[in-house]
Parts: sequence; C-alpha cells; structure tokens
Amino acid sequence: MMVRLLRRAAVSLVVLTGVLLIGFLMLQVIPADPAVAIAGPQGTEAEIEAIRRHLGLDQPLIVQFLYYLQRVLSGDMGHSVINNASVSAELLRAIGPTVELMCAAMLWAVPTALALGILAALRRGGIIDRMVMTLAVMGVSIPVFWVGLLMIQFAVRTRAFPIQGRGGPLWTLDGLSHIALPATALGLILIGPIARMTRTTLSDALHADHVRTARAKGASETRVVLNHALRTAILPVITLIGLQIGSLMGGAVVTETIFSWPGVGRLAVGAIIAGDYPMAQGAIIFLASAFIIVNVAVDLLNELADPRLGART
Amino acid sequence: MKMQSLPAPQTTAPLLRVDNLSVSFRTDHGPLPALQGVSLGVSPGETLAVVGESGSGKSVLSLALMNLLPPTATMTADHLSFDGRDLASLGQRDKRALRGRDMAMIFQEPATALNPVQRIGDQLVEAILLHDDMPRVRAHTRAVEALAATGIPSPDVRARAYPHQLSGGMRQRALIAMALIHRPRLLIADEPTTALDVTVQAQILDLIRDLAREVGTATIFITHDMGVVAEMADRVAVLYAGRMVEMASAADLFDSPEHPYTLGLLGSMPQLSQRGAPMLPITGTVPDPRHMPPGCHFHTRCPFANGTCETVRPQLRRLGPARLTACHYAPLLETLGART
Repeated sequence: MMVRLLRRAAVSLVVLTGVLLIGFLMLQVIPADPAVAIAGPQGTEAEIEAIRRHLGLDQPLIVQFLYYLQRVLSGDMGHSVINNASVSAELLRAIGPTVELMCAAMLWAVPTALALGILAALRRGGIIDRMVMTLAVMGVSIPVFWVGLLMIQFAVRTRAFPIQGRGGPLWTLDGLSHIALPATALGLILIGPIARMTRTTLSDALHADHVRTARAKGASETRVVLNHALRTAILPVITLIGLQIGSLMGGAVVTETIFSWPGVGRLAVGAIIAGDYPMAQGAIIFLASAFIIVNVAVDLLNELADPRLGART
Repeated sequence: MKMQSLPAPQTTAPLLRVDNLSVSFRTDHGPLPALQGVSLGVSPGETLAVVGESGSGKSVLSLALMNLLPPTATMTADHLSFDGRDLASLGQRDKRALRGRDMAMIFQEPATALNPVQRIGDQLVEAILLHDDMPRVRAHTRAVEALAATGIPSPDVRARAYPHQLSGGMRQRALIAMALIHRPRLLIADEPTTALDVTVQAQILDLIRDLAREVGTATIFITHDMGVVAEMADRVAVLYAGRMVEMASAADLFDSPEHPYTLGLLGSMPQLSQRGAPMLPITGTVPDPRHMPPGCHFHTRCPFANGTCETVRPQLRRLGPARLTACHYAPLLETLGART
C-alpha cells in the first residue's frame, strides 16, 4: 500500500512536470509578446528590450523553463502583466469560489445521478429507465454554455435568481441564490455519465452470483440491492466520479465565465484573453495539478472501498 | 402436450414435494422452456441426486425450489409444498423467512458466490442476524464456530479475511458453513464441487454428508458427475432437456439403468455389450430447447431409437415401487435383449 502510494506520487510528479512544460510551451507559441504588452503602446524599442531581459525572455527556452520551474517550486508564479498583482495571491483568492462551485454542483448532481441510475437499473427496460437514459444523453450532449445561457434567459425574465457573481456566504439566502444557477448548470455535466454507469454496473451486479447468495440467505430485496449489489456496483462509479472531476473543472471554466463567478476558471479565461502571460500559466498549472491530485485521491478511495485492489501490490 | 403427472414414489412423508413443475424463460424469441412437468419429493434425512448434462434444467430446478428464479422466468406447478405448507400461498416475506433458515443453498462457484468486498465473518454474521435476533458479538462467535465446524484452519483469522484471500476449497467451506448455520431442514447443493480440485472435492463431499447427517437435513444434490452420485445419493432423478427421464434408488440406478440416457451418463453399458467391447458414450449435444425433436427428445442421440421414438413421446412409467422411467423400451434388458 505504502509502496503503491509512493509510486503513484512519483508518477504524478513526472506528469506534473510535463504539464508545466506544456503550459510553458503553449504560451510560447501564442503570437503575443508579453514584453510589448507590458511596455504599452508608447513603449520604445529599448524599453521592450529591457523588459524582455528583465523577464528572462532573451534566454534560450530550456533556460527559461528551468528558471520558471525554480520560481514555481518556491511558490512564486510571477506577477500579472496587467495590474502587477501576484499570481499566487490571485489564485489563492480564486480557489475558494471554484471549489465552492464544484462542490455545490457535485452535492446535488452525484446523489441525483446515483438515484436515477439505481431506479433505471431496477426497472431496466421500463419507462423510468428510458426517461432516465434520455435525460442522461441530453445531459451529455447539451453544452454547458448553452444551458447557462438558457438559465440566464430564464432568470432575467422571471427575476427569480441573480445571474452574475457570487453572493454572501453559502448559508445566507443571498449566497444560495447566487450559486443556484451556476451550480445547476455545472452539475448537469455529471448526471449523464454517472447515471449511465450506475445503471450498467448495478444491473450487472443484480445478476451476480454473490447477490443470489444474499437472496438465498433470506435477505430482503432492499438489503440485497443496497448492501450487496450496490456495494460492488459503486466501485467503478467512484472511479468515474473522480475522472469526471476533470470535465467538471473544464465545465467550471465555462460556467464561471458565463455567470461571472470569481473562480480560477474565469481568472484563466480572463488572463488568456488579456494576454496576461504569467496569470494564465499559473491558472493552467493550478487546474492541471488539481486534476492530478484528485486522480490520486480517487485511486486511494477505490482501494479503501475494494479490498481486492490493495492485495495486488 | 402436457405430460401426465405421476406422483413421486415415496415411502415416508416428504419434506419437500413438487408436482408437475414447469419453468420457462421470457426471451426476445418467445418463451424458452427450461423445465417441463417435473415431479419429485425429498424426505427428511434423505439425499436426492438430480443428474443431467449442462442444459438439462437441473440448476433451474434448484433455483425454482428456492424461489430464486430471475424475473424473466415463469414457473407453474400443480403442487409445491415444504413441510406441509403450500409455498405458492406464501407471501414474499414468509418465503424469505424460510429461505436461509429452513431451506438453504450451496452454489457452484465459490469464487463468485461470496460477496467480494465483505469479510467472510461479516457475511456469516449477516446470515445469522437475518433470522436470529442476537447481539452482533455473539453472532460473530457463532460464525467462527460454524467456520471451525467445516474444518477451516484458524477460523478466527479467516473470519476477518476477504474471499479473495482464501483458497477455493476454503471459500466453499465458508459457503457451506453459511448455508448450514441455521441447521436447515432442506439443503440444495448445486454442483458444489465442480469448481474444485479432485482432492478437495472429496473432502467437501464428506463435509456436506457429515454435516447434513448431523443436522438431519434433507439434501437435493445437483450434479453431472455419476461418481459424486454414487458417493452421496440415496435416490437419483435423471433430467434430460428439461424433463425427468428416470427416477430410481441409487442402488437400482447403478445396477440396472432403465433409460438409455442414464446408460450414457454411466459411460458404459456392461449389461448389454460383450465383455471387452468399447464403451458407448452419448454422441451429439442436448437439442436446442426451441427446436426440440418430436417424439422422444432423446431419440436423436439414442442408439436404440426406432420409428416409434421419432413420433411418440414416452411418458414416465412406473417400473417398480420407487422406480420411474420414460423410455418405450423399459425394462431395457428384456426388450433390447430380445431385439438383438
């Protein structure tokens, strides 16, 4: 178990370095010169050159990358070229709202999707099953931004919900009404995959031998489904939820932008549009690292839930 | 085409009795008959073996008796009683109360029949607490005792193990412990040794027989292995393509099988062939249940079949006080001896 954990950590580190490299290179090929941007429209050639030297942009790429690595590792992700704000500080401020939004989305979407999947599996081929699966396909096929725009349209007409920004803390009505629409839009991403996976694994598990054994013991059908079938069927679903956190982050970028939610996603999009080189890099690295860490966490969770995995080392 | 139903030959009052049991499965291509007109009974303390090839319907029979058929199955029976109670009239709750307590089952695949993510001990504790009200700690002690009774070494350690940490033989012992924990009056064992090594097989058979004897349970033993039948059975029912073709005491069956299919299962025909003649295996496979041949379902594979067999289905006939067969030519020795 410990060995596995260390190996996972080592692999993650390699992946993370790769992410840093890609993030670094991606912004190299963007046809926007940060030195020009910083110097502004009135900047002279000499000024631009000085800024370039100051930022290390005159060095070979590999040297730039190593410097960059060193700075990131020491927690310094540079400063915004737009307003000179510290990237790390801006990110720290944006993490809270993003985590809040993602948690809110999962909080309603995961239980709903599980319930829908279970219902569909128990009534496989029935009307409920077909309705749930139609919903699931719709959830997968309709892009978040479209749902978000529809919701804004609805909110503007009915004046039922605020459509922009973050309200007070979540335990206040203001906070809840502000997060309602973005969390709903974002959560829809999860419904389809999770419901489908639950339906498939549970309806397989319902025919499994050990579930028949549970029935032969005289267990009630509720007990058979919840304690035996679902207990094994849930394992791939946990993995899937973990993997979905990735697309949830992607969705968060879009959702935050549409609803002006002050999170990492909006920070990233804003920085990219403004050509804010260090800020965009920081946000991308943050999103990627979060994705990698979540995956490791899901692996661990799976191991706890499935005793068979721990034995494989 | 309903088969005439003969009451199962019986000496004492049966614990379980079923008359004219039929099961069919709903499929996309119409109903698929799996069992047709099977009647049998088993008395306390008796071991009834049900034999047949794959596809003969023997597993379906065991699931039908336990009321564990999947929802796609339809089951009909003229009579189905356990200990004098009509099972058809019982509600789900009452059937559940019988299941696991009075009627227990051991399955074929110990590798998959146990819950993979639950400790062995917890699975036994669940089985105990489903029918007995007692503190969890006491149930656990009882679970460990039950494991010990099956000869599992260091049962307290095994109780904390997960199924994948045990060998196949130990898993089957755990399943046997679970099935017998309430000292059931009827035990249905569906090929409990098929998935095991031959040496372990013998130990498991001994274990089932000893424990069943100790508890005084009636046993229905499903198998395709005539060696196991010889080892375990008092009486034998032979199934072919969903119908019972022969029923006899184990001694009679081995001594003078009266259905050519039984002969084939026994693998040789010592009474009919010359000394030193080659053995006569059953050729071909079980016919597709959707396209059963007319007449006797076995005629396509039967070495003795003639015109009658291709058109007229033989009914179960009584040959002796505890002896039934469904062959036109029974008793075989007289008829065929005269013919050849």
